[in-house]
Amino acid sequence: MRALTQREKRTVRIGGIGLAVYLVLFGGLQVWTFFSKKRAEYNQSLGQVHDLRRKVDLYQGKIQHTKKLMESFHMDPARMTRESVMGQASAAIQRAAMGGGVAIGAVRESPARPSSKELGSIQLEAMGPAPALLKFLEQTHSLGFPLIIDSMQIGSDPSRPGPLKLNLTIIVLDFDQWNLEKRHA
Amino acid sequence: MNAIQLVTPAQYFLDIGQESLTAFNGTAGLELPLSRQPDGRLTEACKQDLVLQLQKFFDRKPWQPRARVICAICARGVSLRRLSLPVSGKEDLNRLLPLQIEREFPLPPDQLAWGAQSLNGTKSQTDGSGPRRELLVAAVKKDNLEDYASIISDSGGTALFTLAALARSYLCPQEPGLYAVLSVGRTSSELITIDGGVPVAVRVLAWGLEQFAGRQGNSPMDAAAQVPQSSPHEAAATFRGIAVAASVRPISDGLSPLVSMINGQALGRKVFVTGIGSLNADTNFAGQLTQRIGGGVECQPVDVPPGAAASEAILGLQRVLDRQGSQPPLVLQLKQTDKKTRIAPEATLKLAGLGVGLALLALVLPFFEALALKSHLAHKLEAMKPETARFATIDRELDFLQYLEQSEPPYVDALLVLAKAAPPGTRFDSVSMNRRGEVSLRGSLQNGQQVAELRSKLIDSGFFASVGIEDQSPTPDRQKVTVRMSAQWKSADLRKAPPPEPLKASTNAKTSTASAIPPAVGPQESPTPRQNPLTPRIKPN
Repeated sequence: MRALTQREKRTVRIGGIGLAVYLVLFGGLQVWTFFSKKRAEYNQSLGQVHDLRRKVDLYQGKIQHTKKLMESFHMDPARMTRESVMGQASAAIQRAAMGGGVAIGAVRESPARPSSKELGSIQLEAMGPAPALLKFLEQTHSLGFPLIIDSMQIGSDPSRPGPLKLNLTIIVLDFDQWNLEKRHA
Repeated sequence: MNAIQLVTPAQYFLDIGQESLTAFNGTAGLELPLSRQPDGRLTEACKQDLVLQLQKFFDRKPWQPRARVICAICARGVSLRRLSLPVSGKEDLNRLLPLQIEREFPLPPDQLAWGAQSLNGTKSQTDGSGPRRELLVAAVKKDNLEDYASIISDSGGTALFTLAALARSYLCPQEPGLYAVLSVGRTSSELITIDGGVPVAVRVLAWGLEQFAGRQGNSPMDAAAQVPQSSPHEAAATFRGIAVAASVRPISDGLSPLVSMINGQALGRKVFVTGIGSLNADTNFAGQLTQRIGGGVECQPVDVPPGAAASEAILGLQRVLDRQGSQPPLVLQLKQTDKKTRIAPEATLKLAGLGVGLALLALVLPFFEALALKSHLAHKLEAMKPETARFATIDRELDFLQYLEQSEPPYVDALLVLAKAAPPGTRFDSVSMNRRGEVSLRGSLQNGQQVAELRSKLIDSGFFASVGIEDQSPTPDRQKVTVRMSAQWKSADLRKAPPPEPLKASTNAKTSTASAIPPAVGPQESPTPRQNPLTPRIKPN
């Protein structure tokens, strides 16, 4: 193999340098792109973490409020089972009435429409002295079930002077069908 | 070691002679031999050895600043000139001085290492050219100092050069008028003449203690015979080293060559002699020299503290630094600056490198952070995702409970308002309400006036939005009026809650019940159990 001339050596050297510069630039660009991508992903994750932290902070207040309401109603909606709520609520109402000296008369349960947010309604007749009836009315809210007294009628029984007669229609709400969008809509 | 000592550079002294170099750090000293080429410059082997030895001696840690090394150099090749310049500002002086040096010295200023010392006071010229400033300029060929500077720099120090002969003079009493300081070395000596505290001339004398000792041991005849062959030369300090040999006279003992060299020079009245500490006390070198010089010149040995590890030049430097501050009065500079602090090029490079490194680190660190922490962050996010699902449950539960709370009809409040509004003698047969707020009641009152009163009271209570009388008719016996009323309570945010009922004895309860008027709705009393269960549930305005 013949020896390279100075001119050829110079050409090869310049070519080598050019190639090296190209490779360095190209490789540098690739590395830069790779690292930039990683950094962008990291920043995105960081943003998510910050959002989450803000959300958690926001929910601290909501959690406190929810706890307070749960204590007030003696109820944890998430633990109620749809199948047994109606029966349990009816039993609890009757227990509360009897415990307060209120006599329970006829009780009728009727299911609600499947599309509604109600599980059903309970109609009952109760009889007793006025203080006991008022106490019973008050207790229905804290029996541990989602009960709303839809209507009430209080009056005296002409045939039995003394005790008052109370007709109540109580609605049992269905937590499983509770849908935020539906309500807000 | 305190913080100031950490950042303050250590200070060392070097006395660079012809044959040896003495280093001193304030407590300990080190003497190193020097080997020179025929032109007077150090050999490469000597330089390398010096660097190694000085590095050990300086013992500088990498984090410490460079040591400050004050070097006293021998007078070989050093020229002193006294210059007079017009009084001007500092900038003008820095501009004028090199021009003056170029005129006075045989070499241009850029080939010289030179320094200037301002002499005290200014002189007014008789020719009317204005006051002039007196300056003492010392200069030496730059090559001579560059070797030393390079060695010291490689050893971890920054060199500051001054004249050893001048430094030795600081050990002597500052005599008024003219005097001289003779430093006797092993093979050569230095003589500096000082007039009024200002160095006038400095000379290197090719005579040392070796000649003195050799002559003392030989007979005067032998000495006289030997003189022509080994005649010492008197040498003025010039840029080319030893100057032209002076006229040599036959001598009879070891001091004669020295005497012949210094005779004829203006010595003043006193010659202080240093470097003779190694001679026996009974030699009385100074006394012999006084006798030999004659002419009323008195030679006086300079007292050096016994056992001092440093040379006389270093001791003189220490003394002048103690007196005058951080640097000797005359400093020979390799590169002339405008007296501002300059950072050594090596330090500049280090600082620049550090800056670039920090900038790169700042640029790269976010990327490394992304690489290092991304997986950790992803795991954390994954772990938190199930938790976020609970947010929906919390929202749902909260909404449900809030709905339940808001939908709770105020039946008991309505009954209370009704009971409070009913005038005495009122009897309600039935009261019915629903959660939409529709109230209807049926009862009997004593007269129409009471009906109107009941109605207005219900409206005034702020609880009801509307109260209407559907039917009002007198009973068949005309004793009472039966009435059917309907009302609508206001929405929760508009209606006024009834004030809490004060506690009172329920004495009328039995009579009310007996008269078949519902106690809860009867006009004579308010329901007894309201105080406890209901009071907390009354909503504030």
